[in-house]
Amino acid sequence: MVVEDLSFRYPSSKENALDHVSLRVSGGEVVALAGPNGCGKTTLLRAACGILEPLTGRVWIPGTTGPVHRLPPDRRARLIGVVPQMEKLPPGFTAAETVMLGRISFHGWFGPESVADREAVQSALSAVGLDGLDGQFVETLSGGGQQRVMIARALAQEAPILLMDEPTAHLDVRHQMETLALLHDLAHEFRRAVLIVLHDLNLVSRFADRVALLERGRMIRCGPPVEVFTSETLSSLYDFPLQVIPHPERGFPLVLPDGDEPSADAYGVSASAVEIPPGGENLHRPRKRG
Amino acid sequence: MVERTAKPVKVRRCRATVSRILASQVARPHRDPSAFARKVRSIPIATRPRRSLPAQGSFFPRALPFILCIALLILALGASVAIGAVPIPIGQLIQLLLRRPEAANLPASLSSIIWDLRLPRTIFIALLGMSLASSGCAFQGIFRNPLADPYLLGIGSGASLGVALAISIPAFSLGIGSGKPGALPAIPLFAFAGALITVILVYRWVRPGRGSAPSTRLILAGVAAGAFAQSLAAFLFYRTREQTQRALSWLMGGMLLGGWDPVRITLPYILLGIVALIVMGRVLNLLQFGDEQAEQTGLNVARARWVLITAASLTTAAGVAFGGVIGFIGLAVPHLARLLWGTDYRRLLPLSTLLGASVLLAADLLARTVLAPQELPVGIVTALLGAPFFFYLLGRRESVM
Repeated sequence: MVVEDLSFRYPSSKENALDHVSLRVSGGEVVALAGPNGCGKTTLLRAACGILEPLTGRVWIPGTTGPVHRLPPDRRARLIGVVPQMEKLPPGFTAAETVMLGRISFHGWFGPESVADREAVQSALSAVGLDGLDGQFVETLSGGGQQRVMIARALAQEAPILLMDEPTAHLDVRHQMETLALLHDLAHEFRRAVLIVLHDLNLVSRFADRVALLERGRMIRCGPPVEVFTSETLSSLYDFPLQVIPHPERGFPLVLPDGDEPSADAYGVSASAVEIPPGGENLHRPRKRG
Repeated sequence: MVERTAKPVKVRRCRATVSRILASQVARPHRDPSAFARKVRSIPIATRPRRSLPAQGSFFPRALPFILCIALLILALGASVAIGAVPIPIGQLIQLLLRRPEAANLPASLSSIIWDLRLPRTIFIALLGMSLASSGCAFQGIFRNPLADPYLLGIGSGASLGVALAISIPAFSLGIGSGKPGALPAIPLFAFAGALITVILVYRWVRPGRGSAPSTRLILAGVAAGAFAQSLAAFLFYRTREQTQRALSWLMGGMLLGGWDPVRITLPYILLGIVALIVMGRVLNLLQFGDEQAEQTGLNVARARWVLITAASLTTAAGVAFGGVIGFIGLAVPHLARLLWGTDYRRLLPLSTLLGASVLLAADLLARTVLAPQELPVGIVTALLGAPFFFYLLGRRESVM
C-alpha cells in the first residue's frame, strides 16, 4: 500500500489534519503510527482505508486501477481489513454473527453463507482467543472481548492489508501480546501488510518493523524503532521528558517517562486548580446535617 | 454432551500453547521471528485446520416465533371474517369459504357478506398491517433511530399528497366513483411517486455530497416535509367539495374503497416491497454498526440505503393509497417484535410483518364493533391503543434498541 503526498482537512477545521504525508507499507512488515493526541494518526488510517477523500495526494494499492477511495466498497473490503477505534457495538448480535458481517464482500447482500465463510469466522474467532464464545451476545462481552470481536471481523475478511486503530487499547497485557504477536506473524509469515496505530511506545518498539511519528499532521520521522526512538526525538514530540534505554536482555528500546516524583507539580500541571472548595464534601470532617 | 465437555478442554490447551510460546519468545532476541512463528501454528489463519461453526440453536426454538405469529395471524383473519353485524359461527364460515353454501343450507346473502364485504376488507387490512410494520421496521434499521416509522421522512405524507393530487384531478376523481378502468390502478402509482419525490427532496436537501448521512437532520427535515405535504393534501381535499367527507375520513385512516379492487391493485406492490426488505435483512444488520464500519466491511452504504428506502416507500405508498394514514402500527409493532425476539433483522423483519397484520386486524375489529353499526376509521383505534403502549415501551427504554 502506497500513501503519496496525502493531505486532508476536516470541513469544520482551518488546519490540515494531514499535511503531505507519504508512507509505504509493504506485505511482510508491521508499520506503527505513533504521536501525541490529535496528531492525525486516526485520520491517516481512515484516509488509508478509503473512507475519507483526500484533499491532495492519493492512497494506492499496487495492482488496483485507481485510488483507494474510488474503489467499490466490496473490492476494498477484500483488500483491506479495518479495526476502527473502539466504538460501542450494537446489541442483539452474537460474536459469530458480528464476525460473519466481515464476510459480506464474499457472499453479497443476499447470497447464502458458504462453508468457507463459516470456517473463516471460526478461525478468526479462535485466532483472537474467543473459541467457544461465538454464541455469546457481544454486548455481554467485556470491552476487551468486544475489541477482540472487532479484530476477528477484520481477520475474517482475509484481506492482504490490515489497518488497526488502537486494537489493544482495551486488552489486558496477555491479550495485547497475543494480538500483536498474531499481527507480527501475519505480516512476516503470510506477507500481509499491517498498519497499526499504537499509543504504547514499548509495544511499538517490540513489535513494529518501522514506526512513523506524526506531529500535527506532518510525518516527522519514519524508520525502525531502534533508530527513531531517541530521548531527544520523543521528548520534543510529546513535549514531555522521556528517557529511552535499551532493554537489558534483548536490546530493543524501552521508553520511560521521566520526572522525579509522582507529583503533578513536577509536570507543570497543578492539582490546586481543581481542589474541592471550602464547604464541599470532605473525607475528614463529617458532613453537617441541617 | 461429548461436545460440551470437550470444548473447554480444547480452549485451555490452546491457551497453554500460546503462553508457552510467549514464554519462549521472552528468552529470544525479538528480531528473530522464525522460531517464534514456527511454533504459533494455532494462529496463522490460512494453514490451520478449519472447523465449521455449529448450527445456531436447533430448528424448533428458532422457528417458534414464526409458528406463533402465523397462528396469531390465522386467528386474527378468522375473527375478522367471522365477527361483524351478522356473526357467523366457525362451522358455517368454513363451509362458506369452501364455497359450499348449499351443503350447510345457508342463504346466499351470507355468502355475499363473506365474499364481497368481509373477506376483501380483511385481506386488505392484513396487507396494510404488513406494509406498515415491515416498512417501519426497515426505517428504524436504515436510520438506526428508534423513532422512525413509515411517516418519517415525509414518506406517508408524500404518498397522501400523491393520492390527493390524483383525486383532485377531475378525471380521476370521477373514475374512483364510477369504476372507470385505469383510474384505480393509477392511485398507488401517484402515491408512490409522491412518496419517492418527497424522500428524494429531503435526502438531497440534507445531504448534498458523499459521506455518512446525518440521521437526525434527515429526520427533522422529513418531519417538516411531511407536515407540509400533509397540509397540502388536506388543502386539496377541501377544494374538491364533493369528495371532502370521504377524503377526510381516509386521512384519519378510513378505507377509501371497499371490494376486491384495493387488494388486487396493491397486492403486487406490497408483496414486492416486503420481499425486497426481507431479503435485505443482512444489509440492515450491517447498517446497525454505523456507516463507516459497514463501508469498511464491504457494503456500498449509499446504494444499500437507496434500495432499502425505495422498497420501504413502495410498500408504504401502496398501503397508504387505499388504506389512508394509520399511525403507530409502523412504530410500535417493530418495537414489540424486537422486545420479544431480538434485533437480528433477518428474523425481525418477517416477524414484524406477520405481527403487524395481526395487530391491525385486531384494531380494525375494534373499530368496526365498538360503535356498531357506525364504523370508526382504524387510525383512531391504533392511535388510541398504540400511544399508551408506546409510553409503556418508553418506560422500559433500556430494552428497546
